[in-house]
Amino acid sequence: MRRIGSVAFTSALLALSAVFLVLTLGFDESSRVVPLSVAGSLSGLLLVQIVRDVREGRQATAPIPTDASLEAAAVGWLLALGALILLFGMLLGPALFVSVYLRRKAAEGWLVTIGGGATTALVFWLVLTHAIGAPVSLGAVGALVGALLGIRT
Amino acid sequence: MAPILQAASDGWALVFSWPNILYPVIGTIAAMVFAALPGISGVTLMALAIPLTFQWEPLQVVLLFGALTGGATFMGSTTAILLNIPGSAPSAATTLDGYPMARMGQARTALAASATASALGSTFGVMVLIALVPAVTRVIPLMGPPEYLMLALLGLGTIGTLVRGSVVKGLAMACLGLMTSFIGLDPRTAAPRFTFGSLYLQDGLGLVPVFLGLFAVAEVIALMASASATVSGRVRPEELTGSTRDGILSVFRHPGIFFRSSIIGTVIGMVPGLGGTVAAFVAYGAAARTVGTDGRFGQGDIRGVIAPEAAHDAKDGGSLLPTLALGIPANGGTAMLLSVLALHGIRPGAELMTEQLPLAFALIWSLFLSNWLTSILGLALVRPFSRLTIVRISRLAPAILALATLGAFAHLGRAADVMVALGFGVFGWLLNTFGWPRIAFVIAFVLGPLFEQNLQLTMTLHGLGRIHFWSRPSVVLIAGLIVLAVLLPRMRRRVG
Repeated sequence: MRRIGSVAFTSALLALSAVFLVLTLGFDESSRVVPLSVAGSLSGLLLVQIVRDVREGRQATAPIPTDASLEAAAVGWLLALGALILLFGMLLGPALFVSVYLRRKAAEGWLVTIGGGATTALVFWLVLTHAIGAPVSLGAVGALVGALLGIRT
Repeated sequence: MAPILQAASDGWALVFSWPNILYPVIGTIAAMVFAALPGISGVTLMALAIPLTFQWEPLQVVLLFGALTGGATFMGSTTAILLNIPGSAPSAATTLDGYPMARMGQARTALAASATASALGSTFGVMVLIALVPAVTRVIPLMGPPEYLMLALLGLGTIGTLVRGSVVKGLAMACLGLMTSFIGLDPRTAAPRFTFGSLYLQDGLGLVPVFLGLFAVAEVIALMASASATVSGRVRPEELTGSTRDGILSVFRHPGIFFRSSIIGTVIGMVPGLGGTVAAFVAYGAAARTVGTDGRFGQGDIRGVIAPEAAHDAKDGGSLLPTLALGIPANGGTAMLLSVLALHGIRPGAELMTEQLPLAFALIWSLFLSNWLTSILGLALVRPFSRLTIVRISRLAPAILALATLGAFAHLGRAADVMVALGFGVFGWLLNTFGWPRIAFVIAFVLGPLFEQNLQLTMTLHGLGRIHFWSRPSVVLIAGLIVLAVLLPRMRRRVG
């Protein structure tokens, strides 16, 4: 499984390098020299690596033991954080993530769960509004609620 | 030299008198608190402090800003060692060996070595600054695109030494790092490149979100997917090995690495536009070359902590040279410093370096004091800090992710940076999983703009007949260093 993943990852990198290569060909002649030589080298190196990956895959006998479900769950939590930030903004999104994670994954009690979320929200609010003076958006949900209530968020 | 020593003595007296001493102390503590938050650099804090100083005397201003310049450095390394979160971009080099040490339960040793190398490195930088003030003012204006290009090549040359395992993978990662650094506007024509029509990408990808992703977020994914209960795999404080004493002594046990890194940091600090990130990575690469295949370099070697820390702090002294003597900012921090000096009617250059020399030294000593204060406080806090490595991962992971998110956003106040950090987190984790060296990507990404801009400028100037590349002594000198850097480890390996 890990071997297939490795070949798939190298192939994805090769596809990315092909995109870089094609885009570079569209640049004017004087600007393309450096990116073109780097993109060309990158594609060549990745092709060599894919051949190696495939060869090693044929020769390999025992798969490397990994817990794919744990890895998938970890990436899932990361995607959840991104989604919560998009939905609820930079103030509530991370706070909700911390609370949900502490409750679901860490199996903490309600006190730690709510305390963790509240502390996160407080730290974000202090840093964003007082330290760097950044506008605090409430995300897509905040914008929707604001639009329904006729308030600008 | 005598007037300089007299001015140095006068500057010392200005800093260490009551109530002047309060300004660097308060500045240092403020810088330490801010620097513990990833993504919020000393530059951000300086920008926030400017409005406070409008009514202040020039002396009070230089005392505060000297401390803000120096104070932010060490704390960024603390989070880098304990949690793999580089508090600032230069601390990314410290994660490479510092964090593996924390995972082995030796956080105390790593933190103490970092604090000691940091304090001694800054002292080295300041001493060089004092000694070289008269000479360097004549040399710095001679640095041009060919010299910058050669310095970038010197940095890129370290990749060969740092990469373990597959050379093909190392070179491919270096190429990918360079390609990623090309995203944005073409330095020559200002035409967008690889931006896919996105305005955000026209600025290029920022170092802070990329580093937070590659190091902090990627590590959190690995931690969440691991069977280990804590970062160090230990649950009780008494199970932690290593000690503050070992960490302090380790710097004295490796004087060669310490001095070489301090020299690298000071010299790179003097060169405008390079900064602490380049200094830390070049010093790390130089240390790797010295160590060779000996030890566990890159997997928790104390020398991999000493080198970037000494270079990063020695850089502060070096970067003040062009700033104070020529009015040329060496990095973002010194650019901010120049702005605040101008606001208060202080003009760097000949006037500051002759008539107002004691004021210039007050700034230098304030920087020196803040570097020592952060290190002393850091040493005092080694024990409580190291306990972070025995906190349960299930509690630590959401906190690290939240901090990384905050750092990515706080850097420039852009939500897209958070998504970049998360995206690079997954990418960094995949690199680790499939055995691709992150370090090659990171070094190439840092040095890419320096390399490309100066290659294009050098080619243009050469084409116009304005420069003769190989007739410049500094180019030949750096070329010699590159050859030595590539050949020496091979020769040593053969002899060994």
